[in-house]
Amino acid sequence: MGDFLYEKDLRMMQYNILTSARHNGVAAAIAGHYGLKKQEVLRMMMERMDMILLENLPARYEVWQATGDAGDETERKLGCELISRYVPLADPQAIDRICADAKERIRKGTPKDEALSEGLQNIREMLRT
Amino acid sequence: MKKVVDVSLPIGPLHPCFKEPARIKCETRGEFVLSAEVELGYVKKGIERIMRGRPWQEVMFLAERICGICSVIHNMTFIETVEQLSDIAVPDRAALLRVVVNELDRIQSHVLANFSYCYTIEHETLAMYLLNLRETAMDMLELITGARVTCAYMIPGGVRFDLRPEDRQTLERSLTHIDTEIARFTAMFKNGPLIGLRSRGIGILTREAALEAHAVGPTARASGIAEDMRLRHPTYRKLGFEPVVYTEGDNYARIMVRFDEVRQSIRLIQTCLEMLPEGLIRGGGSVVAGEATYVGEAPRGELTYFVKTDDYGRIVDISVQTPSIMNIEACAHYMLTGVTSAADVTSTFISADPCVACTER
Repeated sequence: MGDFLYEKDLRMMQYNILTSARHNGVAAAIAGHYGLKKQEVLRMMMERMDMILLENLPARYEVWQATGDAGDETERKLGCELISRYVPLADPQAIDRICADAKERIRKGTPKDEALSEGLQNIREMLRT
Repeated sequence: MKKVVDVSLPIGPLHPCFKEPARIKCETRGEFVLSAEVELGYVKKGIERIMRGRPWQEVMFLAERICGICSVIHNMTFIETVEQLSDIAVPDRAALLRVVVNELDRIQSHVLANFSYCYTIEHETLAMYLLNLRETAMDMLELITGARVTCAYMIPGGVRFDLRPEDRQTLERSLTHIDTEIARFTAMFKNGPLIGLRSRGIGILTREAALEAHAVGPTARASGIAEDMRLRHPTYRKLGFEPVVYTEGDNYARIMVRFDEVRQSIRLIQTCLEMLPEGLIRGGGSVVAGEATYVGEAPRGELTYFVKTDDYGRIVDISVQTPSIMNIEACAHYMLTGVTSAADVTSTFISADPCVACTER
């Protein structure tokens, strides 16, 4: 007996969604922001999101660009809401911890660039695990 | 003792309440929905890839085949994108005729959406009344454009057919009929106690959630977001267009927005007919190389076309963002979460007027 159509592996369909020009642009932007390979980001998206969320990624990314992380420069540069809320690839609580840690380091006198760089590295490591 | 267990509740891909295949996977505690996911991919057309490399004369027919319910707005948005990148002007008479046909399309789409909702909550009488009324709008579309669904009415620089005086009279009579009937059906919907039980306070989409998921169209306007792309359209501005907004964010508000918008569309068409000047229905112009992004207001919300052409008017690149993408996502991840009865999952999903054909373009 054959498999049911609705139980079939939809990874190819997910990949097709992500290869459109707009989705490709979002994946490239996120990969560039966190220093990841684009293919890694595509794999994370396919594993962690359902198909309708994949379809809606460009619109959600545009909303983040317009209004996300608006209140705080550190959060904006780390893309805290981007990665936890608008393109939800990471656990929001873990992202909050990394962001709070980066702010605390800046407050204690660590140069801003160094603290942000470390924050981005922490997010990158967390995304890969 | 009554037991409450965690259940994974799959709905679809084929379901009597769905017009098109989609699969909703709900995680429930008893009947309380904890979370929901939507899986698609059963009817993917890949139409953007089919469009690439073809001349605009072919792509305008493909564009309206993205969706069989709102085909007119796909035609209109694609043509207006091409006009924008080629700087082609449209005569006043043609611009108003475009609004007439677009609003007729919105009327039939909204009436169909409300039919689907009433059918899903088992109010078949009102559903059938609405489906019958939709035929009047479809007949008017056929009268003006020569086709019910894929009309291809708009072309760069104008429209294909003029409105004949005898057709104008028929259109005015039909609008009066739709107006009278839709007022009666709106009252039935408003005052029906069982409808209220199935609709009020169910499937709530808050304003914040709607903004986060970029919900658009009646789904967003039912959550208090006064956003409508017609506000940015030059012809609609002349008509003094104002969006219909509700703040409740529930199934009831989404259906009421559509009922109100049907009556608003009737007023817009009547205003167009009053303002309709004599003159040409086609200007001149040819499609040149360039790229443009243009946003139109489909019956379901914001419809975005990105088009890039070459010197011969061929489509080098095209990207279409349909409103159902945003609305289905808002529905799956915000409206369905917290729904207290499995029976309300389908009605909440339908209240967002999901179009899988658009989503899987």
